[in-house]
Amino acid sequence: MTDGTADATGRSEADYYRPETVEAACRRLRDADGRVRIVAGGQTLLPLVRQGLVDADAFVDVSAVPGLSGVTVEDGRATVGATTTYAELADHGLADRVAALGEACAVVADRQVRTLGTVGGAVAHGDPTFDLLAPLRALDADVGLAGPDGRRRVPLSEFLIGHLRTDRHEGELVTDVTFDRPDPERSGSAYERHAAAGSGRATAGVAAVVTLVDGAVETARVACSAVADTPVRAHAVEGDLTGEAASAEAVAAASERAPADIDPIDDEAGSPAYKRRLVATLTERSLLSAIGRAGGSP
Amino acid sequence: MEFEGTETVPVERSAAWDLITDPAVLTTCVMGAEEIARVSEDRYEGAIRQRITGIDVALDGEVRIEERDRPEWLRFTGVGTDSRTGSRMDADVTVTLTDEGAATELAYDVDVTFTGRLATMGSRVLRRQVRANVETYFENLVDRVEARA
Ligand SMILES: Cc1cc2nc3c(=O)[nH]c(=O)nc-3n(C[C@H](O)[C@H](O)[C@H](O)COP(=O)(O)OP(=O)(O)OC[C@H]3O[C@@H](n4cnc5c(N)ncnc54)[C@H](O)[C@@H]3O)c2cc1C
Repeated sequence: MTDGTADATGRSEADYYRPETVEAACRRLRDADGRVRIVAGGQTLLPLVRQGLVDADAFVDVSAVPGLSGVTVEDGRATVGATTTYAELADHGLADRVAALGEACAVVADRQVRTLGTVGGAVAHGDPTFDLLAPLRALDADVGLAGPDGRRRVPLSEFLIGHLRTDRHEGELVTDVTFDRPDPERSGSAYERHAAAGSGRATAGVAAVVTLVDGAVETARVACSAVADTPVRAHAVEGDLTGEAASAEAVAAASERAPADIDPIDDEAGSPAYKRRLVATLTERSLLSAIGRAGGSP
Repeated sequence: MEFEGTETVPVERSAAWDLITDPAVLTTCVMGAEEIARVSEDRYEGAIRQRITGIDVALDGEVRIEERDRPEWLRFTGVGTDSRTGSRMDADVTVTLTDEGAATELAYDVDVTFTGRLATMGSRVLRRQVRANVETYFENLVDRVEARA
């Protein structure tokens, strides 16, 4: 717990706090003078500070709060603490059981980003290209927040309200994400993404979570990253597949409907038409792999 | 960066024209716009402050109608500067209004360039942000008209 004038970049005069409890962090957020920023792994925030695009009078570093870190599964409900890093999540048994999570962690940048970057940082930033968000959307996760008015929970789908815009209130911090762990006997999941060479960031990514019953698809949840202002569910695909035989033909046909729910933009990674095609392909791949893991033979 | 789009407002063309050139409407329909004032027939001044998770942008700027052919089309330019980050945004926008019975289709063509530190955020981030802003503006415009009807 250091109160001082050296900030994370060592450049400006910002105050830097390292509280050890959620309550202390909330107090700092409330009482700090001027503009205050939460920092966890710093992998997104510090480059912005260095570029001069973020300017804060105080930083509240939440990475030393023990209560915010770690993964637990209780009564089938999984909780991932906000400061859990990609590397920690990938090493947890949950990431083997829910393969989409492990696969998303594995494709994030390099060792440094995976060792320092956190789940809470990915959720709080609201960048639809972040890889972990599609699996969390497909798992129907919700987000826990703590703030001056106490604690609350919001579905991730409502927390992410736009490009780089979230429903986080002033003075709130993200404490965790939770979701029902899919039935290990009958479910499977997968995350497939494509990134342009040299860019590292996803051009598009698709996560699928599937539950089977008697060789048919009981539920299918599909979410896409990087192709709309927020990670979006491919409802048309889900609707077409539900109740169908878990066959390669059904998957191929349903995957063609993936473009119906996305809104890709034209940028250096590619044209909207290219991204629509790409998302259909990634949808098919992630569904086939999820069905395979659920014990089906598409 | 350039992009285009269309939006239909459920009013006749001359009413649509009045709407898009009304500074009060601009202020309520542009995300984060504050105090846009019409300082002359063709010039508006104001400030836009937006807070996105990553960065805070506060653009002070001016919009100027460069050419117009009432009520069919207009072209305007906007300049915004953010003194904190030493950034500048230049926008060149053309809006074409087409009669669709009692409604009007607004077709817009937007060309935006950034210089200074904001430009270092790269088009991947800025493009989506700018497009979200333009779309929200036109959606707000439609909502406003529908709320009155
Ligand atoms: C070189 C590089 C490559 C990358 N490549 C990828 C990639 O391939 N895929 C990918 O998904 N991501 C990538 N990233 C981004 C990375 O995923 C995110 O940076 C990471 O998840 C952010 O976590 P963090 O803990 O570092 O967040 P920080 O940088 O500490 O914070 C990010 C934002 O979230 C806020 N915040 C953080 N924690 C909380 C909290 N608990 N409550 C409220 N607000 C909070 C901060 O205020 C800030 O606005 C890359 C980053 C770098 C630098």
